[in-house]
This record gives sequence, structure tokens and C-alpha cells, in this order.
Amino acid sequence: MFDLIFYIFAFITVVGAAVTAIHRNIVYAAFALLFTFVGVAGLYVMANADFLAVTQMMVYVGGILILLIFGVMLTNRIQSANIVVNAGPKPVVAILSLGLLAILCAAFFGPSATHSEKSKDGKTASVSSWSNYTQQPWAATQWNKDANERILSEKFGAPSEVKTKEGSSGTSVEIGKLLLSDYLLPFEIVSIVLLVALIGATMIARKEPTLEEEALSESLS
Amino acid sequence: MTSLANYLIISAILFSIGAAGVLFRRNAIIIFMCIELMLNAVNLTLIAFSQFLGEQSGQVLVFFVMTVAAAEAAVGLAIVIAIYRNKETVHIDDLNLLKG
Amino acid sequence: MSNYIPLFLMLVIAFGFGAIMANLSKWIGPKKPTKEKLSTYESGMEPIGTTRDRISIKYYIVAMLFIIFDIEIVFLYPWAVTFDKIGVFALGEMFLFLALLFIGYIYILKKGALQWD
Repeated sequence: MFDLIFYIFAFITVVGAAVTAIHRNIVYAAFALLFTFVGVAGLYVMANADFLAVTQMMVYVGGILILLIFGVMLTNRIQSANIVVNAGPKPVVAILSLGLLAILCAAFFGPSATHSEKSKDGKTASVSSWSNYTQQPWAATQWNKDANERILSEKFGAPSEVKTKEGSSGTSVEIGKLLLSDYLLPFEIVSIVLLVALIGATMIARKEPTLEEEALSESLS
Repeated sequence: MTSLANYLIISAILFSIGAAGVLFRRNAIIIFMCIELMLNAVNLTLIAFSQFLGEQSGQVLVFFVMTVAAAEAAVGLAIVIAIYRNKETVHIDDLNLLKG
Repeated sequence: MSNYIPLFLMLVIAFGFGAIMANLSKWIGPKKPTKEKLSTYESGMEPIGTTRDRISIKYYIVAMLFIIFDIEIVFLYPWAVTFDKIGVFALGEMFLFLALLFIGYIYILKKGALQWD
């Protein structure tokens, strides 16, 4: 059941992304991006990141996407003939991106990831290839679990929930705690980043009134 | 059950699609969309590893990535609008004034 | 994870309902198009120009500022649920956070970016 839901979300995400990158009509591309964002939010929920899924909907779907569509509406003359010109060397790009995909997959699952991992208590556990572990369900792959426990949980199956208990308040409490303790400085710096973005975006996007317009508005008021 | 491998594959695909889009689209706004795709792919990886390792720091990091992405979208699109106002185009091949 | 089953069902039903309702009249309604019926309905007025017009830039700035304050609100949520555990310190931190953004708000207000004209 959860597998099915996962694959539905994954399918929505990947197809939406592909349409975004390929479709000639920029409005359709923006609409496909909506599906990608919703699909990614679904994947967040499947990974027990419920608060971030909500944030994803609020920030990406409710904010950034709307802004992008505004940008499309402001910058395109839809009447004019060729709105979007795909003038790239397509085969080269396809080869490059497939190569990138191969590199990423090799980095994630390839033999180069073979090394010995030092566990927390100082014992050196020899991990032949950690990609073995990545294939396991979430619950069976807690990194710092004892090997015994790992084997046991592999043998007898593991509870599907590790962190989130039934009826718990989700991850927002954890995130809030981390935000106000370990990540306090980034949290305050973020407010400065937002301040700069606020002022910068306003100053760049705003059309400065010309001298005549200013004189006109002064004479009117 | 879903595993880390599934998430990593999806985010690798998402990132590659985003990179391909950045390389072969010529409209500045579509390039923006593809950058958002790549940011989403990275966020997905972070969340998958955060779940895999059983700790929440990765999620806080994703939180900050989202914040910076929002600020970047606001300022970046403001720049695109300003360019459009001056040059009447967002086609990046036409914007080559800094080219030597 | 089973907590989210109702949410997922809700998502499916909402999307399905929206898609079906938007297309139902197209599928089962009779179609006898005339020239008047096909013209854009504009409250009885004669439509002028095309519908695909560019909109005013002023509203764009409002949307842009909305994103920034959207992020601010998102940061308030995790603070609000942990506030009682950390206490006055958290309160001070959040006031600092809000004060910085408020300075920006005052600035753009004085600069007249939110004025419609």
C-alpha cells in the first residue's frame, strides 16, 4: 500500500519535472512544476518529514510558483510567434545529463562507496558496501544500530515507524528545538538574509519614477 | 517499504532533469524553474538521509535551503523583470553584454 | 505513517472531484455553438483586445514581498510549538528575528513600494 503511494508520488514528481524541462509552452512548464512540488511534498511525508511537507506547500506552491507565473505573465508577449525557443544542442545536453545521472548513481551505489565506517563507540565496523544498507527499509537501517539489532530486524521485519509515534505532534517540535538551540545563529542570519532580499527585490523590481512623473505627482497632491 | 535507495534514485533523476533543463532551455524563467527542481532534488536527498540516520538536523538544513530558495526567487525574478524592462527580452542568448 | 492515509484519500478525492467537475459539463452537455455563444462573456460589454494581456507590475511587487513574509510565518510555527519549553530566551530571539524584518517592512513602506500609483 505505502509502496504504491510512494511510487505514485515518485511518478508525479519525475513526470512533472520532465515536462517542466521539456515543454515548449512556458505556462504548461510552470503548471507541471506544480505537480513536481506536490509530489515532492508527498515524498517528504513518506519520509516522516511532515512539517517540511507543509512548508513545501506553503513556500514553493503558494509562493515561489505564483511568483514564477507572475514572471511569465510579465515577460512574455504571448501574441508574438515564438515564445520559447529551444535552441540548445539537444543530443549533447541529453548525453551530459545522462552522464550526470550515471555519476550520481555511481556515487550513491557504486563500489567507490566502499570503505570502513567507524561507529560511534569507536569500533571499526567493516562495511563492504553501504549500498547494501540503502536497499533496506527505513526501520532496519538506523545507522548507529548494533549489528545484532540490524540482523534481527532484517530477519523478523521491523516496525514501520522509527521516530514518529502514533499521535505524536510530528517533527515541528524537534525542528523548533534544534532551531532555537544548535541552529540559533543561522536562524538569526536568515532574518538578515530575508531583510536584504526584501529591500533588494523591492529596489530592483520597482520602476523608479522619472523626474517628470515626480513633478506631476507633486503638482497633483 | 520505501528505502533510502528509492529516494536517492528519485533525487538523482530530478537533479539530472533540472541540470538538463538549465543547459538547454534559453528562457531565463524556465532556467529558474529548473534551478528550483535541482534545489528540490537536494532537499529530497537531505530528508532521505535525515530519516535514514534517524536525526532531525537534515530537516533543519532543508528548512534553511527553502528560505534561501525563496529569497533567491524573489531577488532573481526581480532581476529578470528589470532586465526585461530594459531589453524587452528574457532570452539569455540576447543578454550577452558582459561577454568579452 | 498510517496517520496520513486520510490525508492521501482527501488529496485523491479533491483532485478527482476537481477534474471531473471541470470536465463534466463538457462531456455530457449539448453543444450548439453560435458566434455569440463563443465570444468572451464580459458582463454584456464588447470585449476589447485579447485576454492574454500582461498585468501591472505593481501587483508583482506585492507577490514578491508576500514570499518573504511567508517564510517569516513558516519560521514562527516551530518556534510556537517549542516556545514554552525554552522560555524567555526564545521569545527574545524571535523578537529579534521579527524586528529585523519589521525594519525592512518600514523601509519599503517609506519608500512607497506598496503604493498603488
